[in-house]
Amino acid sequence: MLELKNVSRYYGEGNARVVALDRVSTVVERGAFLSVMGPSGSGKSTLLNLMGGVDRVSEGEILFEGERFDLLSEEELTSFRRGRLAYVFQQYHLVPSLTVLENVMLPLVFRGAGPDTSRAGRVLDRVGLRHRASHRPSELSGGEQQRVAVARALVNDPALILADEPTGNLDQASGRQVMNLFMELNDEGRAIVMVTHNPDLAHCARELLELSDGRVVSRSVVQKRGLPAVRTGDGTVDGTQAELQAAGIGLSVRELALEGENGTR
Amino acid sequence: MNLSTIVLKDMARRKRRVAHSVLGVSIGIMTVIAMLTVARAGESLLRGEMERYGPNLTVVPATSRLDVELGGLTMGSVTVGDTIIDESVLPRIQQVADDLIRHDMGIDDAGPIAIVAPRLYLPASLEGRNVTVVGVSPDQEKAIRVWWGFSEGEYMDGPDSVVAGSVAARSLGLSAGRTVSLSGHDFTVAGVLSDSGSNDDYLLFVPLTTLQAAAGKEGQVSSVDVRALCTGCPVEKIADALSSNIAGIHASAVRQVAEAELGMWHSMRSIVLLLASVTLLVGLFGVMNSMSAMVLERRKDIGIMRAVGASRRQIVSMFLYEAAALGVLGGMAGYLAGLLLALAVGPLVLGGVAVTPVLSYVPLAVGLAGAISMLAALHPALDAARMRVADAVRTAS
Repeated sequence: MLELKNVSRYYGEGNARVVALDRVSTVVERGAFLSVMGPSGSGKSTLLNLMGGVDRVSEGEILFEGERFDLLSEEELTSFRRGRLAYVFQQYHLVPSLTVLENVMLPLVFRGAGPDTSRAGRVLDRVGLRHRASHRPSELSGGEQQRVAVARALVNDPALILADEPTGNLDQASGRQVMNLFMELNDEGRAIVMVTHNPDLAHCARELLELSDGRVVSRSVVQKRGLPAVRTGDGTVDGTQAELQAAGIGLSVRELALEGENGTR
Repeated sequence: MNLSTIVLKDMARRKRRVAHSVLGVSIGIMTVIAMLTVARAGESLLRGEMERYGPNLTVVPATSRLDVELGGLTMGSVTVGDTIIDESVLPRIQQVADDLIRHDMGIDDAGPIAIVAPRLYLPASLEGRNVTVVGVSPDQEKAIRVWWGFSEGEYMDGPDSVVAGSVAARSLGLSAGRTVSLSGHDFTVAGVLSDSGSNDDYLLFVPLTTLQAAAGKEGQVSSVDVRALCTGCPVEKIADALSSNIAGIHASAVRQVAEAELGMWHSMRSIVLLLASVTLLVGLFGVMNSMSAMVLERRKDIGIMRAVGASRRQIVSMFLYEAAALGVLGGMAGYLAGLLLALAVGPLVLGGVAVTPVLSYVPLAVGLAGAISMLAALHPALDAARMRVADAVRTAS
């Protein structure tokens, strides 16, 4: 669906030139879920921006369903992105003066489709926030705001969702809710590319793409896909032994046995 | 929901910034509106004065000078044509003037509109001294020369009464009640005019019919003053029509002092308008600064809007919507503030004359403010639209 061929992105010129991405070639297939990992400055966000058409390549080609969209003008690119690609940001970035429903309708308005409240309502249902439709973003928790941002991304029914650290600002429980939502969306056939620092969250994806110094270091298939277990508020245990030990949570013999049976890490 | 409602909702959230921008626009508009409102009151005051003072037209006999030559030598010149106007043309003058005024001003009233005041100038001798006596139609003359005041006595009240100009009275030793003999006819001095600074100060005024009879010039007048009783009367047009339609006369529009004052007032208004334009220009830069600051502040929002599907054109439109809304608010606020300023300052400038609100300035204020705001917003809006989404998104992250 999306293909990058020898894509490079430089910033600055001459001696001040910084290579953000260096001849990256990769493919995002229809229905893929790709986690992009790497240390800060490795080029993760640059890669995501290039994939989303919000930044321009310095060299190389980007094809979306066989069409070169790196050659499109700014206005063509804007209309190309609509309905094909959608963004979810770390900081949600909802418009504070608009209600939840209006925020979700925003991409429809920009697309010229008009304020379709029933469609926006359906995607709010999808993220479990229909009851919050008339609220302002400031009245919502971080997790709820991010789910609204996901609903906003979904309203134009995009084939590919690009998420930049979507759980970076959320507490663990909210982050898990959002990641579960992403996995469900992917299971429904929607492709997702997600930038994350968190190795556990990265394992929600089907594939891992690791970057370092602007280059692809590795691309691997996630063997055991899913969220790590943690001890939740109701006392059940759902997390790795190492994590729980680090958090000072002791495991009972029975819990350890169960963990072994479930095959969690 | 559409782009404009998104903008309006966002403006409602940023009240302080909006108030700041509205203030910037409204100060310029306030200056313009205050100035225009006071100027309009000043103009109507002057027009009122113009209506009160003096004739608009003077009709004189049509004469021309002809050079006389003999064998290449100029022998002087002769005046060709009558030097008097036949009194019989007065009704025609009245009719031509009235018809034109009715036509141009859309007046249906059938009565006379213009005042037609004939004068007959004759040299005379008073106790061995040469004077100029003017025969006037008492009622018409009084209607035209409303500024005449009397240092003693009163206006002429009979066929044998005379009114003396102030200088003439002083030099001839005339006073009210005295009887004088002018060209063999006895007159009683009814009154002496106050100094007017005009030719009237040197003249003696008697009833026209009396003078015509005494001098054997029945049916003859030297000139006719015409005054159209309306503001903005087509004076030049009437003068042209009189000259071309009535044989033997030449009519010319008279520029009165009030008209010169009006001209000065117009010049003053132009200067103040220029100053107001500078204020508007400063306001424009103020709004531009404010808009530029807003673009920087909203860099993140712009990036997000672009990322969720807004085109560059839509970003520009949103800024222009905002500018238009600021213009409407600034225009209305500026109109009200300008009106209040005019009401307060106008009477001081115009010597106590009250200033009245001019409602037709409301659309002017709003339109001007909208245009200024949108002009000021255009550059920042284009900057915002040109912003690279990735940079804005990076700001956002």
